[in-house]
Amino acid sequence: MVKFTPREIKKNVNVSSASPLREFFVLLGGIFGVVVLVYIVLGIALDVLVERMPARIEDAVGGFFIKTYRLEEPVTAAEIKTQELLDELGRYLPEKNLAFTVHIKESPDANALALPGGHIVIFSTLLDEVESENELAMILAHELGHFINRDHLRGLGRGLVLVVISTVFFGADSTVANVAQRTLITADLKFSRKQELAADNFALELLQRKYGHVAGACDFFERIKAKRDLPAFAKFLSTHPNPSDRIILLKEEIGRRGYLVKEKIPLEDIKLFLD
Amino acid sequence: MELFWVLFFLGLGYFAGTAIEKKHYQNILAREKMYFKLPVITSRKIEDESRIQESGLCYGSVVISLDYFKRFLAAMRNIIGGRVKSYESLLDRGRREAILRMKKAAAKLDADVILNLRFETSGIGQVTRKKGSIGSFEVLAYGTAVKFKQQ
Repeated sequence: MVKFTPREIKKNVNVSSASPLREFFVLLGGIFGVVVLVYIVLGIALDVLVERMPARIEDAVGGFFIKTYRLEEPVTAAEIKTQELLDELGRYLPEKNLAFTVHIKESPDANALALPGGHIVIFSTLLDEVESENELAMILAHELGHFINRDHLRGLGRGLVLVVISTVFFGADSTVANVAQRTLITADLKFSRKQELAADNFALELLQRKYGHVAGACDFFERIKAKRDLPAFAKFLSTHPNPSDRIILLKEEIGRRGYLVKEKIPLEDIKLFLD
Repeated sequence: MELFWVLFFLGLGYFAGTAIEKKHYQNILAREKMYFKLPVITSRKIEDESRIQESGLCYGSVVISLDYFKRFLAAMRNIIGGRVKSYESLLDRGRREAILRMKKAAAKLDADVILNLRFETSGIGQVTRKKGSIGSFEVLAYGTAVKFKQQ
């Protein structure tokens, strides 16, 4: 038998000596870099597509939402009144042959949505709280601004891209996917906040064209300010700009353009019709 | 909020995992010195079988779990490929620990040598892509403990 000589092994050849932390950050950075790149490229492709998307396809997409949200044609008195106001505002739009429909939906949220196909959803609580026609016009004009800037399709498409990417890379239900989605969403929130501010400015302009002044432009934000103002760290993670910031920006814009603020038109008649 | 927990467990996994691994290696090195004189070889037979007084099976087994950090590293490796370095040290520890336990069992039999060393490695509770899988593995080392006649 071969003589056995015990010898201590000094260097372990079976374990890589690289620092795990370094590997962690290199991998994380690399993978997120690629994901973000794909996201940006798809996002740009989407922006191009959205500009050229035919109305027919948009209507088809809109039809899907109508079904999911169970939206109906305007029938109640409040809906018809709101629709009339929307139609009046529509006359001041740069593009004439666009049709917009208003839907009122029961909900405890004071919110409004712009969905593909020219559908604007106003939640009943919002309508309850609105105090003047000018304020409601500002909200409708803001949503119209999203349509004109085609944000409604952009937002939708980006959400879709996000889900597709994370599913392809990480599988449908994994921790890595969740982390990736969160990071990408955070990166995109700034984009979203920019869109909101652009829609605000658009609405301001439309208000001026319709009424010749911009009274009531800040009313909605004043009201939600108390409810929704966020601490500084949370601002970074919000899709919408902080209400008080929006008020400041709107007031700056009003001053810059020299718009006037006159008497508001009360909204009693719409409110009476709300159940 | 979920992100917070991921980061929390990553940190916990990294610090706890590293501390445990370091301690385990110190322990392994110390015990390897202790059993230094007991040879373990992979030959199945020895030339002069008449020298054998007694022989028998001896084995050592160990189950080691992944930590969150190592698993996260491996999950990222799964995407782009390459050496899964975070698991290398884990398996190295498992094999050496299993040998040490086997040697301890053999030492109880007063063995002079362990022949025919073999390893088995198997994952425990690792269901691919399923949440809540345990993610640990077992290493079994076994061989034939041989005691020679006193001369």
